[in-house]
Amino acid sequence: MNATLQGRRSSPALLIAEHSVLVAYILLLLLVGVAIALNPAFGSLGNLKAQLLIASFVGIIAIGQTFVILTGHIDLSVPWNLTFSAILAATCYANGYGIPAAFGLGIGFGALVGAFNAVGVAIFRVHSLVWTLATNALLQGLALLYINGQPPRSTIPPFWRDMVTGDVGGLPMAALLWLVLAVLTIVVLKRTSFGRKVYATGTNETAAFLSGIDTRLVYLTVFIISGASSAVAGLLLTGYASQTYLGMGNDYLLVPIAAVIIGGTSVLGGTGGYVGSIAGTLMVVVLQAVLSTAQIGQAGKNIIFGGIILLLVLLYGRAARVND
Amino acid sequence: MILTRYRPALLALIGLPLIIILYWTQQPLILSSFGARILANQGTTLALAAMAQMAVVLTRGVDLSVGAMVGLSNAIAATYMGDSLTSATLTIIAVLLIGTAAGALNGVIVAVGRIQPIIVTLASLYIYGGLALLVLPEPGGSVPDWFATGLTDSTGPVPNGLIFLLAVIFLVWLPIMSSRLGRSIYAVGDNEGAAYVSGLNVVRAKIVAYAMSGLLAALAGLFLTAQTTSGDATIGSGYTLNSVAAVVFGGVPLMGGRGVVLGPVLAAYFLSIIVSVLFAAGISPFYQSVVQGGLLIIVLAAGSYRALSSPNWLQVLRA
Repeated sequence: MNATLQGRRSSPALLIAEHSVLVAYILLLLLVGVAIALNPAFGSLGNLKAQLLIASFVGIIAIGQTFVILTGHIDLSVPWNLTFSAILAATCYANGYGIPAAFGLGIGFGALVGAFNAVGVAIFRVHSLVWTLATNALLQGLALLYINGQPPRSTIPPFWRDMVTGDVGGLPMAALLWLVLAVLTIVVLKRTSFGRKVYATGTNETAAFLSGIDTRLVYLTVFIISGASSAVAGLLLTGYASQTYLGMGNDYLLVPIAAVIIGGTSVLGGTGGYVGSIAGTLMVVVLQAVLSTAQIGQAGKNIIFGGIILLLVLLYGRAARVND
Repeated sequence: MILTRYRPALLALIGLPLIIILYWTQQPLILSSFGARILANQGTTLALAAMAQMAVVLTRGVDLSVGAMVGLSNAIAATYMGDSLTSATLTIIAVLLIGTAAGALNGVIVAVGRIQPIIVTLASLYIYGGLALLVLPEPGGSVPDWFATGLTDSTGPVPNGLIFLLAVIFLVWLPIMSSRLGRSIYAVGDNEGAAYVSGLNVVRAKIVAYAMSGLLAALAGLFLTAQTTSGDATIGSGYTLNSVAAVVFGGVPLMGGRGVVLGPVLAAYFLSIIVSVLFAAGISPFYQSVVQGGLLIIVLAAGSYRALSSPNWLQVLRA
């Protein structure tokens, strides 16, 4: 691998790959420029706050995906984990238990789903791609059974909404929570032994295991983080929309994964980090906003969004040649 | 020799008759030519989608866009077929060409662009799904009667759906897979580096595998259109997971390079019929996802018994 890098040091593709985080932030600035040029109102304080609020949902899920993708895996169970956790919390609240119990139940359930994902990956040695896809289907069925096909009961109190959209020091509460969790994530990944174990496991699991890292414990932790962050996003979305609904998680599968990938984290594991994922998160959110203001329908949005993700990964997400 | 070759498909070979017997105890009609037609029509779409998934899994990839391509084919077919023989024929040709091209595009990005299959097909899932919605924003459309009955009726006691599937297997799958090109698809999945060093065209093998996946998904979409006689851009969404489930259940390892087509095809019928059995037994349709997801999890977990029984974790890691 090193030989490859040296052999093609001058190529611009390599330069981009080596500085993917920087490239992501430059692209973000360009994108914001385009957004403001298309619609000057995009730069207004109110709109930026609204975008930041939406970005915090994506960004919090991207925390979990960053941890998981750094180990070389992926979590495809986000949509129904998010939805089911939110429904459980809302139902718990509707049944007269307080907010702490409701949130505890929601996040606890999300973490439990994460642990279940980890069992498949770490102990049964099934690739997360298939295992979490199956978990997602299972959760979808269980959620439908739980609410018996009826729209979920939604008696979301106003203060649940305020806890998400309320203004503290000029920032929406959800964005503040994202900021705290983001700093925590960066510190854990860059400054703790656990963070180094995550990178080591993603780079070479066997080597990590031989150097004394319990890779199973690493998988367990990253999938629990991912499950819990899906649940937190579900609780925030519930407050934001003042209701829970089936399919509330559907938009949160590709978008956070795309945020992580275009933020420079390799799907093969071992390289990248959350600083890039933040740029990626803001990029995908601004992109969606631009597509919305351009009055492109859902179909066109999906096509353009998918196309741009492909272009961005082609720009700097490429793997080594087979002959290297 | 033959036994070893078909051993991976054993689970599906045993499971399918069992589930049909179970169905028969609830619906005795199922063992008539009428019943056979119903069974065939239920499973053929998934069997074709499973073959589409298998073509890519053989190269150690995965195609998350299979469901979207089934939906796109369904939307195009139901929108443009019309009543005349000419328009229907042209539409069928167009669907097959678009499916093949869409699959080949996935393959080019994976093989030439060197991007992980999961990212490519996750993104193209949105692109092809979006195109399907553009073609047919609201469920609707229609197909000519001859097309619908031609694919879903019976010829004598034999369901046409089964004839269609066998034709695809014997005229498309087996000739390609037993050719040099097909061998190279297996070789690339088994060990890409070794395949390259042996002089095989790795890029071409991958592109052909993804193009086959697109073609087979388009065929699945066409059969689905004949079966439902209408179009729905989102109808394919369930086929991604179920095609992966059929591939796993049919004994094709996700590590690629191995597997016989019989496994996923039988597994596809198994997974389709199990839903009808639940329905016939009066169990809530909400259990469908639970059963399909749960079954996949059980099979995946059971398939790793060797990892669990190995005394040396290091050997497991290196496997």
